[in-house]
Amino acid sequence: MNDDFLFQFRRDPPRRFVGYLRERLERIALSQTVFPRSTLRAFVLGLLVGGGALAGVWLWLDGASVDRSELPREQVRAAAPTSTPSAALIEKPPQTPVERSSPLPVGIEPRDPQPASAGPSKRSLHVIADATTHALVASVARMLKQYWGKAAPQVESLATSAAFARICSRLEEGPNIAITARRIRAEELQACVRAGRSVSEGALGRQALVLTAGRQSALMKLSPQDVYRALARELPARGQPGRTVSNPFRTWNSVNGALDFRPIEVIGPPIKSAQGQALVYLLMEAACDATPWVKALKMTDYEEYRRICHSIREDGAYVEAPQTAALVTRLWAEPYHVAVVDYSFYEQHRYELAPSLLSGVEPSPQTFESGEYAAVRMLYAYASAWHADRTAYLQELFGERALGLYGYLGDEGLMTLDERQRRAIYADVVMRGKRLESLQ
Amino acid sequence: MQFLPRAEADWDAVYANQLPRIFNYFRYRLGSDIDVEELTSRTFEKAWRSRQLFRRDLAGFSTWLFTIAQNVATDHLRSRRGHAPLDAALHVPVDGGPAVEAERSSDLARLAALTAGLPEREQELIALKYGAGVSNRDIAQLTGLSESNVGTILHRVVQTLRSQWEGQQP
Repeated sequence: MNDDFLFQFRRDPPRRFVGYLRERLERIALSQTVFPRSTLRAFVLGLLVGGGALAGVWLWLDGASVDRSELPREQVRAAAPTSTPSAALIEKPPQTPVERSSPLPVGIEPRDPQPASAGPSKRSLHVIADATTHALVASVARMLKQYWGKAAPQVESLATSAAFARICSRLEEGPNIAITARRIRAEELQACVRAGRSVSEGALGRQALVLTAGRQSALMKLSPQDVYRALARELPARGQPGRTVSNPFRTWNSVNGALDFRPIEVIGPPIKSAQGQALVYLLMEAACDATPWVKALKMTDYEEYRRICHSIREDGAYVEAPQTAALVTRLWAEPYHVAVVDYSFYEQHRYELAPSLLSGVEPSPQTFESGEYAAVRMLYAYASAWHADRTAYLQELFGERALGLYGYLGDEGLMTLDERQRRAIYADVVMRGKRLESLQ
Repeated sequence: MQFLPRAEADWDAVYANQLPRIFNYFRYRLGSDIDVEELTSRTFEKAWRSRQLFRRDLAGFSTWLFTIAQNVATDHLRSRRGHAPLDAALHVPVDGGPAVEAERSSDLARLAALTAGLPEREQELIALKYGAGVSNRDIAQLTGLSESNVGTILHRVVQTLRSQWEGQQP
């Protein structure tokens, strides 16, 4: 047996497969193609003019009979007899009379009052996000405008608990959607039920962070506490509750005696990005809460809490860098650097990076699922009050373009669910508007 | 196929040149034809979707593509581990087809049964070298070994396989 013998097991891919894959890649390219704005505008204008003309002819022919087909589809489903579960679960839009601007043609009776939001909505879609999910929400909002021609939603940043309180409030004009970094709690859901709010829930995917380095670097066994002590701008003073000191640590072994003597040099995502906020909330905050008087500030003085727990040092120990291939080459050249990246990036460049452990646990889908790995969490979307643009937003958010295998939210560091789960969630939240009754 | 004109790589050429190499890399790595098409698709789709990340100055395109293929293979093997013994490769049913093709697949299964006893790194080198036809230099870049080390390991592995193969001849 020689080299030639080993080569002879090779064979060409079947033609059927070559054609199939080619077609598949072309489809992906098409789905990524952005239509020229002018073409889209002309198409929408044509649709409006054509649709308007058709509707006018229909009105004249149909006379005074009241026809529900002119109502938005969701409203029709909500107004229909609740014989099917899906119809019952979709919240009915607010019904307010609309003033007519022109006199009716003779013989036509006034129609059913339309919801204010069925016409041009004065109030844009209201989405709530906490700091860590703000970047994801902004990406979906951009696509909503680009592909659906909808107005950009009003995005409000709120802490997760406050976000749940808002979507479950009795306010008529409450927020329509909330993107949160944890699941709703039983008492929060009860508040929704008491307020008469129906809420639909869908999981979006996981955010996970990984600490790594260049391939030749020695592996460091770090914990969230080590990361916090290395990166925080200020640290609680030992034995002096209420006092903080500037971070004095310059080397990893001064942070934790068990670590190597290496300068603290960390490359991480920009702090305002989704990944940067995940670093703050998943690693920094978890460790910060270990100090009781600091944790108590969460309830009494949240601004002070944020100053202590969310501020990253600015003396050069932490350097912001985007996650591109250039980061990998930089890590090759600088073996003492530790990098904070999201799991997708790590997975893609695993062979070019050092293996990673956090508190002794390797990042993997299995350890994420089991809850052993510390720096991971599931993101959720909650749909509440009705709005004319709400369905489009949910379609975009749970659709393949955002959450599919190579969806754009993956570029924001989100580990999307598998396709079967995504489709099931899409059907529940978008198609059926399934109401969250209880937490299983 | 009209790939993006602004892309740095010539995707038509990439597709024509690299598809058979990636396809055969997976055949050698898995030791059968099962799942090969799926993993090849996954590799090309990943590369295609994240083509913006590719930088010519980082590494050759082929190296980048094989890095993705290695990750896909690792994930697949990890998920498969514990489900079926590798010895089962000898009994993998082969789809009907020309007799030569069947014999070739059967030989591949035999080879897979032999390589299954090798360490992961050696299996990877065999797949890269003989399945994908990657040069020793590129293998060195992909695996982090030195070029001479790659040559030495491959030589040793081929010697071992040869003696085992001949020992199994009826």
